[in-house]
Amino acid sequence: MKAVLRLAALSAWSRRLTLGLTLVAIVLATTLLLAVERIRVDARQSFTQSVSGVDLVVGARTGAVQLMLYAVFHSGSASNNIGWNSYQAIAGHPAVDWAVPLLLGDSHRGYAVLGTSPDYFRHFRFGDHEALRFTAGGPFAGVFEAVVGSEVAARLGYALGQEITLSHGFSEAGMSEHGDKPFRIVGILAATGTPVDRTVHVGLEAITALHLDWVGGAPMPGLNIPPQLVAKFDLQPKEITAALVGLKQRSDVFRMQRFVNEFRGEPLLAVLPGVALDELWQAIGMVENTLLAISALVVVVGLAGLTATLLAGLNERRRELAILRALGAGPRDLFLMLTAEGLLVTALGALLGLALTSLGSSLAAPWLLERFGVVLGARLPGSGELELLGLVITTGLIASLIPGWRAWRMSLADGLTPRI
Amino acid sequence: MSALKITDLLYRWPRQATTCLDIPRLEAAQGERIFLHGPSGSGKSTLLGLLGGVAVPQAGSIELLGQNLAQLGSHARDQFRADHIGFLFQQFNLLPWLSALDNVLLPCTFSARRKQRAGPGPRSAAESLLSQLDLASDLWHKPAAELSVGQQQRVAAARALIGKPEILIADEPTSALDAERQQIFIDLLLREAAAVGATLVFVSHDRRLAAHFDRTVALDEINRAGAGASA
Repeated sequence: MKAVLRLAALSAWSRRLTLGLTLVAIVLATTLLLAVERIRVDARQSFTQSVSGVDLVVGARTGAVQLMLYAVFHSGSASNNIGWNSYQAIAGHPAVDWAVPLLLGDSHRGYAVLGTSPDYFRHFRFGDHEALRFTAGGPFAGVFEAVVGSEVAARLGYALGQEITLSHGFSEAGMSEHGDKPFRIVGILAATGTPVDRTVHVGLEAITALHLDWVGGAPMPGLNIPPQLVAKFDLQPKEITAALVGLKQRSDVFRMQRFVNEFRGEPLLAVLPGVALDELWQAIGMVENTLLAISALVVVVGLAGLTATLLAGLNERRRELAILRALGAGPRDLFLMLTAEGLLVTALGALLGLALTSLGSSLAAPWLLERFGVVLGARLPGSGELELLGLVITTGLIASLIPGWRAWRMSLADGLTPRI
Repeated sequence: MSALKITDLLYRWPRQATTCLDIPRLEAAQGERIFLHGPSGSGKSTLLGLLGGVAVPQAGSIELLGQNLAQLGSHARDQFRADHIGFLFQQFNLLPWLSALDNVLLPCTFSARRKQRAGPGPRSAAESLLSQLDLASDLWHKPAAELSVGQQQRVAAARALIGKPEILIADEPTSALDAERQQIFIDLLLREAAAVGATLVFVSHDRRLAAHFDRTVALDEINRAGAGASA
């Protein structure tokens, strides 16, 4: 049997060009499958860990998913704001360790502007409880200072000290620019793979200051308060959009949630971000499953190509099989020879596909993070990937049984003299 | 004990109505050199398949070296063939992707008995067979596909002879050679078969070659089934 396997290897090597092409197809198909799986797992992870270390997200009463969408992903808009008094009541609750206000509504060239307090940079966590890091500068201190996320800085080519202006709402057209009050960039954040990368952060007071001379969503004609005078006004906002809350003890989370949901002053909603993000991912999970199914089909096509190649080669190899038969090889040996060849090509293809996926993902990781905000972890293949790899090899074995069975039948029909 | 003994053999291909072989008796003594004459359609290939043990007759017996092949399982028949029979075909006898020398050594990988009978070093046995068959040593390590037809047939003969099998079955081994080379090849084959003491069954449709052999058997005369199904 060892002799037969050795001959199978030598024979396969003699047909290395055809088999090589088949191998390439299997390698690419496996790579696609594993890459989809890896991105799927990692995208889910970066998504569901867009915010971590935050026990509750609080906003006006609405759907949990909608609250997460605007509070964390800065997409869509809040139906209602929270009064500053309510925020202070929550922030002052004995179970609360820290609270960070969020005030949304303005934008800068399509990127959301988040009004918050400098505590945001201290308490916000993403991924595996990672804190925000600055690649340059630091948190804002003055009113007209801004901190930009990594994508904002990279796409728009911003550096420290540069001045930018904000727009009211998400109008790209510049109809309602806050052009009279420019901001200076004092900090640039490192990439996180979360919506933070696509956000311009300013102080809560800055948002108030921008709107001092505005009434009802538009500049009041004839009133213009220059930046140097805003400090004379009370810049404490009257409302905020949402708040992030950290508790002293995690075990208090449901008690605190109930406290918020039953708040007397106004209808509020508190959600557990992890749970809500999982729920949100479920909604878009269809897409990932479809992608995975398509890549699985590509693998099946690759393996069907292997079967076809082996079967087509078999006719040319009839003579070879008859010679081996005359030398004493049984139908079983020839079956083994053909099946082993297919299995060898599949296993090699699957392993090379794994290697290519690992290499490709480590090369593409920075690009993926920058362009799509997906964090690809450098790590050993996950259990999902190994399972898929096992499935590829098993399917390859089944695909190889067909030419093996053909060789068996052929050797019985041909005997020692092949009919060609 | 005869090397080959066929008694009341009946063979019909599966799913075919007519009998292909009906041979009451065929015998060859050890060391005997038989010319088996068979025009195409006389059931030649079928008989070779039966002698090789890749098919089993429906009735009658084939005894090789005293062993009734029908009494062996298919795996044991394959092993018996590997151990005791050297086969030589018309052409394309070799695995094209192996060197000439490795082709000669093939029987030793399939049969421990042939390997053991090849002497202390199968490799040197193969080399000496190749030189006795007049194959220049610079060709030994060339891939078989690069040899001429005549050279390939000599490598095939060396492969059939290595490990001294008791029976040598040659199926039209000279049909791809020109007349002069046929002569030389048959002489070499007869000499080497005699050197290992093998019984030689030489099958051909070409009666002119019969003169070289101890005895001629006409397949269409001993086969009562008449026109067989397959060439």
